[in-house]
Amino acid sequence: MVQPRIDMRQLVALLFLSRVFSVLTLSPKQENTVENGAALLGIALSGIVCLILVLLYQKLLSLYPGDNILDCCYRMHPLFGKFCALGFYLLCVSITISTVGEFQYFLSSAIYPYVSRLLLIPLFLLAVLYSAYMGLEAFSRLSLALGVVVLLSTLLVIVSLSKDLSFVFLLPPLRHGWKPVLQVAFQGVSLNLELVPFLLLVPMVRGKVYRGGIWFVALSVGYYLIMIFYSSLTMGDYALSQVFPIYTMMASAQVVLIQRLDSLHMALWVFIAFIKCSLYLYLSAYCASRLFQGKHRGKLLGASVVAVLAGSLWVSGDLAALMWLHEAFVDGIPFLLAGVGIPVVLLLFLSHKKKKEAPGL
Amino acid sequence: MRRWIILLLLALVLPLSGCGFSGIELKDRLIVQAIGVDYQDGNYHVSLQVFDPDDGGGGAQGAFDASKPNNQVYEATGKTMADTFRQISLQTGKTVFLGNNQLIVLGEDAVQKELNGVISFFSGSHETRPKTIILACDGKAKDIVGLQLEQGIVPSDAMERMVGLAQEAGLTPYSTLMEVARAANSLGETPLLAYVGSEEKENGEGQLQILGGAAPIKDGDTLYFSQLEIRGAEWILGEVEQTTMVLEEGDNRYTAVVQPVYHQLRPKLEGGQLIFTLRLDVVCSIPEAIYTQQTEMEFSHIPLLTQLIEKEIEQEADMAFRHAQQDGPTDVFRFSKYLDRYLPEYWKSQQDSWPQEMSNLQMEWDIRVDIKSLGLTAKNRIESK
Repeated sequence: MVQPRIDMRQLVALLFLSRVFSVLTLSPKQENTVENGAALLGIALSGIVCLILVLLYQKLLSLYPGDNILDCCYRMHPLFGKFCALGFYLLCVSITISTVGEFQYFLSSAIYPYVSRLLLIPLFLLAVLYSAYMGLEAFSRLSLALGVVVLLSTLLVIVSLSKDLSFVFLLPPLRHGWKPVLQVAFQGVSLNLELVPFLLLVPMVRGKVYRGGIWFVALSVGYYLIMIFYSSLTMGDYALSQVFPIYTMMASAQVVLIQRLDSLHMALWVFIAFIKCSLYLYLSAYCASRLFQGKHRGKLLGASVVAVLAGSLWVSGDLAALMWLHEAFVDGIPFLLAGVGIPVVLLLFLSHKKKKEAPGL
Repeated sequence: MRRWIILLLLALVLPLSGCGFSGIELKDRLIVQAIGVDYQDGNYHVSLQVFDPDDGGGGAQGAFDASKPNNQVYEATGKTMADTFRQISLQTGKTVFLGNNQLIVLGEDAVQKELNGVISFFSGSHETRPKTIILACDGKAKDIVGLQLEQGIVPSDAMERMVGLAQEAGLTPYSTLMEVARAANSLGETPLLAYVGSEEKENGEGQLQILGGAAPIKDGDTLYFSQLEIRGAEWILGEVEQTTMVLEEGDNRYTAVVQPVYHQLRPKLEGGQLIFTLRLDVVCSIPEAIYTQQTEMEFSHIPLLTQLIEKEIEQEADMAFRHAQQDGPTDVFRFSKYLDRYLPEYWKSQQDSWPQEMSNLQMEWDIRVDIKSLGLTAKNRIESK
């Protein structure tokens, strides 16, 4: 039984920040570009699917209150538990590697073109290691404050760009049928990997954790909708010619004396990357320790950061590898396994088991 | 252990100073305020107006005198844009920094022959702001960038303010890097650039002149629009914020301050004929009336004034449309976007021949004027129409 450590608001902020990390590096050349109307509808649909998944998780984890998904896996069978712990560990490490790779790629493309990855990545990971070592409570507290600042700065962008909206750029969502809409919806769900940390963190959260899950989905989907709506309606086709259109949109926003809101967002984004990496590094050490009956957490944290360092140095030096890793997440297999397949199997199996265990049957 | 980790992290922060890892000091940067680009014989000629507090004013500890020009102009010719910047860096021993640049001025040749190349260079530059103003100029860009206007800390400040005010009044288009690049890369659309020139004042100093707009059309030619034609185009685009119009009726003259409150542009097909309808609602006040016969304005004049304003707006919009249609044809009104949005099947069949197909296009005007005030005197205030 794990003791609750963070509250619901901190969980929401943690997952929200982790999810919105990818907004700034969203690239029309990277994703399959679809028209803005279809993209908006697709993202809204993905939000509905994610909400259904949160309800599914509630159903599963309510069977044995105080358990997270790994506990449920061990309840099903110890070997299955170990297999899943290894799988979740690999997923968390891969997400951290991908995040560090994207972080370095974006910084060296848009901000510091000549920065050495050999300097940037080890320094960044050292800070992340310290944060993960300090524990979930520490970076969750930071994430709550940061989440509020991110929302306020987004409001600033919205206010500053509202006068530039041109609705002629907004195209009807279904003019090419449902295919592009469903494509975006599928991507939206498969890239919402933060539902996996949600499954792991549930017993560590005080208060109405599932309500927190719903808040997380609503906030992150709302944030994506706003960003895509504003970038496509203020920039039109120019957004498609940019490698990082959301960043370009932020660079074009200005409020009174602040002529470049991109500087503010860059600073926030560095913190967001820090929070996301801290979360996944912490969870990777947690999953690895479950392979050893919850022991050696500190050593496993060190081993995880070494793995992330090696992996991120590799992907940051090889753009094709970074793209491959990103595509692997876009394809949806990691999420379909960790976020849908395993919870559904567990729900079916444990519901049946619980019924059998119930007295009088 | 924890204390050592904290000390190590703090020590690692020390090399992360403000100017980044390359450690370029402010004094080693050329802080560019305006860029002029000319294109001749396949080469780029770039002029940079650079903030330099030591020039003319100056003072101890980097202080500057706002009444002095505070700038230097550097020039170089090269085969590519980056080549010219490299040459200026080598001339001065400083790194060119575009993060503060406010204006990009393109000479006639650059607009006609190399607009896309110049735009793509600046769009790809991580330092350049997407909302940097792009101007087309009469003659050479280096003459505009070299103008020593004394109405700001640097001349580019004054230029930016003048262009900004003209843009708000609809007398020159909103041509930012982002908007020009968008239109240039949009199928069937033509970018419309603010168009400026220079004139000599009586004291021999140069002065910036707002001339209207310029649109690069096929065969390396440029279509120029006067200030009034640009305002007409801006009515169609819905981009006038507030403007002042001078109206004449017989010997009487009026000044109307006009502010659009609703804009709608819609295409339709009637018997195969493509028609665009502009619905524009404006509110206005008449702060000034000059009569030859009487001394003050009366409420009974409102229908007449309403009609005058409607007619004037319609005339300006029609003038801009006819100019673009007959002397181009060129789509500076985003018609192609409206067709793609509202008549997608028609657009699909016409997109390859657009804007040539614009020659058959007809416009319908639905201008609605609401006069809210006849100036500030209480007896002339209109509570509601």
